Amino acid sequence: MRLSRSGDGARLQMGAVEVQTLADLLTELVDDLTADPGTAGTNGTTGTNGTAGTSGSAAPADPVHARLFPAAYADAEAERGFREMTESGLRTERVERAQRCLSELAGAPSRVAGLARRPRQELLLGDEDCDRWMRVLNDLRLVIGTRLEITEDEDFASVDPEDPQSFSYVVYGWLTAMQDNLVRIRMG
Amino acid sequence: MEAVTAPSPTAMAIATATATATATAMPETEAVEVTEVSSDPDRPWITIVWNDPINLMSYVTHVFMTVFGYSKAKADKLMLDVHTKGRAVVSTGTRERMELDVETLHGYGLWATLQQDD
Repeated sequence: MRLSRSGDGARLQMGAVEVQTLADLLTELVDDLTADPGTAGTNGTTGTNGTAGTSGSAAPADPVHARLFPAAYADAEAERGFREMTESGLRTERVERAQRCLSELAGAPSRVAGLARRPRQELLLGDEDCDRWMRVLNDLRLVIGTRLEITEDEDFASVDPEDPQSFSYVVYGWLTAMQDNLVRIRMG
Repeated sequence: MEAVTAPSPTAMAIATATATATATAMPETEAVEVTEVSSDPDRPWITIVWNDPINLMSYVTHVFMTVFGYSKAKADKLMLDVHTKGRAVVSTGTRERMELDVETLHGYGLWATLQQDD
């Protein structure tokens, strides 16, 4: 993955494996968001999404769901109202921007570049595209990082290669680097 | 259900969420204006962003600049407050406005809440 400034935006170049990995992650994210029974919230059944925990709490019990759609209020009733008002819109927003990134990946032209002369796919991103990509990368990191129960001072070097989740740590680190680079390019 | 004592005249104008029984217990001839919550409607509401291990420091600064139009210096300071103190008040205003801010921040993946200032 290469990320560089280009005009007012950024040039993102990725190899085939990287494009495929990112596309798989985005597809999974869209599937999760559209399949989540938490969408039932619009029908006044918020908090009864199968994974709902203690009664009287409007916040979701599934940690990934809770991280993507955190509680706004400590008060359960106010929280329920807020969630009913906002969650389905936020969910739609997330799905749409992930789908937009997916179709950009699918349409990215391939160029032969670099010392290895291997083809890379290239995306030219304007300011708004950069913002959308960094939010989508953040969504992916929220999902993966929550599943991994990542901590602030996570030491990736200490991850055991035998750990069944070791690959997720690598992916998480890769997404983190990509997002951080994008933010820095955007901030100039 | 909590026991409810007779409301004083000044308290009658505001039926809080926890005191709905007060309103129903009053004579039917009395008109009761029901407004939302709050013992002191003049106290402003605040939006708080909480520290979390996933959101990047650079990204959080960028979000504060984008969402609130804050300068890089101000956004950086707020981000560092979140990072080192665990939380920071990032905006102040009406409850409706703060709900909008929290919703926007949730859209960026930040962990934000709102409450009335104390």
